[in-house]
Amino acid sequence: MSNILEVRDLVKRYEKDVLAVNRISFSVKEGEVFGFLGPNGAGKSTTISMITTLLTPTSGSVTLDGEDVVKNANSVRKTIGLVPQSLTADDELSGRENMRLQADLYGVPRKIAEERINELLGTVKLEEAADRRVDTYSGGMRKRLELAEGLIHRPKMLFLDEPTLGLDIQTREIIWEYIRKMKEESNMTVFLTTHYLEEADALCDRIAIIDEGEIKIIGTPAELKDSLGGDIINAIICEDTDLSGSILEMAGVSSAVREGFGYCIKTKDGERTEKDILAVSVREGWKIESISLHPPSINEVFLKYTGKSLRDEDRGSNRHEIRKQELQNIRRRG
Amino acid sequence: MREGTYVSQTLALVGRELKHWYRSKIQIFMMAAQPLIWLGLFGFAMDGLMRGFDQELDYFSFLCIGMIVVTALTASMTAGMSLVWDRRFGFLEKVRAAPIPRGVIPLSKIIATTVKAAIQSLLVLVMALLLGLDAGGLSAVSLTVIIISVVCVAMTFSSIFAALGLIIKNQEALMGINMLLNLPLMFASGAMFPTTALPEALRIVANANPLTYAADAIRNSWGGMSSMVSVQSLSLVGDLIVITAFALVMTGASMFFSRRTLRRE
Ligand SMILES: Nc1ncnc2c1ncn2[C@@H]1O[C@H](COP(=O)(O)OP(=O)(O)O)[C@@H](O)[C@H]1O
Ligand SMILES: [Mg+2]
Repeated sequence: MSNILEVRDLVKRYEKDVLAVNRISFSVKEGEVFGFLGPNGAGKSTTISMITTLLTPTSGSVTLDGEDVVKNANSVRKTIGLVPQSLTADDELSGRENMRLQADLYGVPRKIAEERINELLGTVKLEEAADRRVDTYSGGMRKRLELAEGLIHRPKMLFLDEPTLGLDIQTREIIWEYIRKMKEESNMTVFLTTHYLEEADALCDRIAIIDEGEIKIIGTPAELKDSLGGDIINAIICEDTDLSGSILEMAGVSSAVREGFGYCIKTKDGERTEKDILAVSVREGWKIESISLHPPSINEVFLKYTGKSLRDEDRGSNRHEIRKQELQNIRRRG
Repeated sequence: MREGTYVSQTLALVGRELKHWYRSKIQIFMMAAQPLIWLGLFGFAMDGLMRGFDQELDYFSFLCIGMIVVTALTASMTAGMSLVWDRRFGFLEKVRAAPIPRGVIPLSKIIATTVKAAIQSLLVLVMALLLGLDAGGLSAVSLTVIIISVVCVAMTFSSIFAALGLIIKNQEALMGINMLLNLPLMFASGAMFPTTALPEALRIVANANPLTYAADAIRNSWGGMSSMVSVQSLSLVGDLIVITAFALVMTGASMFFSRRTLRRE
C-alpha cells in the first residue's frame, strides 16, 4: 500500500516559547485508520491544522496525495474532508441548508448533492431534524452534522479531531460505526485524534502516541501492547508470609511485587500463571481474597512511553489506587 | 472542479448571509427605525437652524439625500462584525478549509453587505418621501443614480470593514473602531451638511470622502437639488466616475489584502 500522507520534520512554534509541535515525522498508508493519541495540549489539533492547510508550519514538510499542503493548498483541500474539534455549522440555518452550503463550497453538483445529503443525514441519524435550525440541536446532533458535512465531496482522506469528545455513549456508538463503515465501504483513509484510549484501540489500524509535541511511538495496537512484554495479574492473598518468591518461580513470570497483601505480577502468559497460582493456593492453603488478569492495555503503553496515565486525567483515579483502597479495607477487617 | 464553481461558491456564501438577514426580524425593524429617527427628529429640528445659516437651503430635503448614503455607510460596517462572529462560531474555519480562493471570503461579505445596504437605503428613500420629501425629483435617472451611488458606497466601505474584521479578531475592539470611524466619516462629508458649512480641515477630509461624491451624484440627478452639491466643479458623470473608482479599487485592495492575511494564519 502506498502512503497518502507524508509528514517530515514538522514544527509549529506559536510564540517564542510555545513549541506546540516539535519535529514530528510519520506517514499514513492509503485506506488505513490512523490515530493520534495524546492528552490535552499534546499538539494534536495543531498538527491537523497544518496538514489541512489551516495553519502554516514553522518548518518541515507535509505531502498529501503527492501534493505539498503549503504550495498546492487548494488541491489538497479538494482531496480531504475535515471535521474539526470545534463546531463550525451555521446555527441559524437548518441542517439541510448547512449541507447544501457545504456542497456548493466543494463544487458538488446540485443533483448529486441532494442525493448524498439524504444519504449522509441518514447515516448520522439526522433525517428527522434535517429541516430544523441547527441552534435547536443537541451537542451530539451538531457533531453528527459536522461528520456528515465532512463527507459531502467524498474525500480521499478524512480528518477527525477528537470526534467523540464530551459526547454521550449513544452518539459515540454512532460515530464509531460511521468510521468503521467509511473504512469498509469506501476504503477511505481516516486520520483521527483522541485522548480516549478505548477509542484509539477500537478504531485504529495504527496509533501514534503524542505528548508535548513529540511522537513517542508508532505502531498497531497489538505491536504497542506486545512491546510491554506480557500481561499483568493483580492478586490479594491474605497470608502473613511473603509469597512473591514462590510466585516468581512459576513459568513465564518476570516480576512479582508485594505491597501488603497485594501482589502485582508481570507474566508472559497471564492465563497460565493465573491457573498456576490457583493450583498452588489449593495445595498450600493460601487464602486468595481476589485475583484478576489484565491483558496489557493501551493505558500501560501510554504510561510506559510518556510516564503519564491518561486515565488519571479522565477519571481522577486509577486501578492502582482502587487496589490500594481494597487492601486498606482488608487490613482494617483483619 | 467544474468551471464556474467560484461563482457558485461566492453565491452560496452570499445566499447564507442574506438568509440570516431576512430571517432576523429584529434586524429588519432596527434597519427601518434608525433612519426614521434621524429624519424625523434631526431633519425637522435642524431645518430651521440651518435656514439661519443659509436662507435658500431646504435642509430637510438635503438631509434626506444624505441619509440615503449614510445608511449605506452604516450598513457596511456590519461586514467586519460578521467576519468576527464567523470566526468566533467556527464558521470561518469551515470556509478556510474549503477549496475556494481566499479572495472569495471577503468578496462574498462585500456583495452580501452591498445588497443589504442597497435595500436599506431604498427603504430610507421611501420613508423620506412619506415624511415629505418632494417626489418631483424622482425619475428613472435619479433612481438609477441612487442605486449606483449606494452600491458604490457600500462596496467601498464594506471592503474596508471586511479587511478590518479579518485583522481585528476581537469584537469589542472592532466595535470601538466602528464607532470611532462612523462619526467622522459621516460628518466630514457632504452628506449631512453642505461642505461650505464645514471648517477648513474637515472640508479637506470631506473632499476625499466618497460619501460626498455619492451624495453629490444623487443631488445632481434629483430635479431642483443641483445647487446643493458640495463639489460644484464635478458634474453627475464626474461624481459617478469618482465613486465607481473608489468602489473598484477598495474591493480589489480588500481581496488582495485579505488573501495575504488569511494565508499567513
Ligand atoms: N493559537 C495559539 N497560540 C498559542 N499557543 C497555542 C495556540 N493554539 C494552541 N496553542 C498551544 O499549543 C499546544 C498544543 O495545542 P493543541 O494542538 O491544541 O493540542 P491538542 O489538540 O493536542 O489538545 C498547547 O500547549 C496550546 O496551549
Ligand atoms: Mg485539540
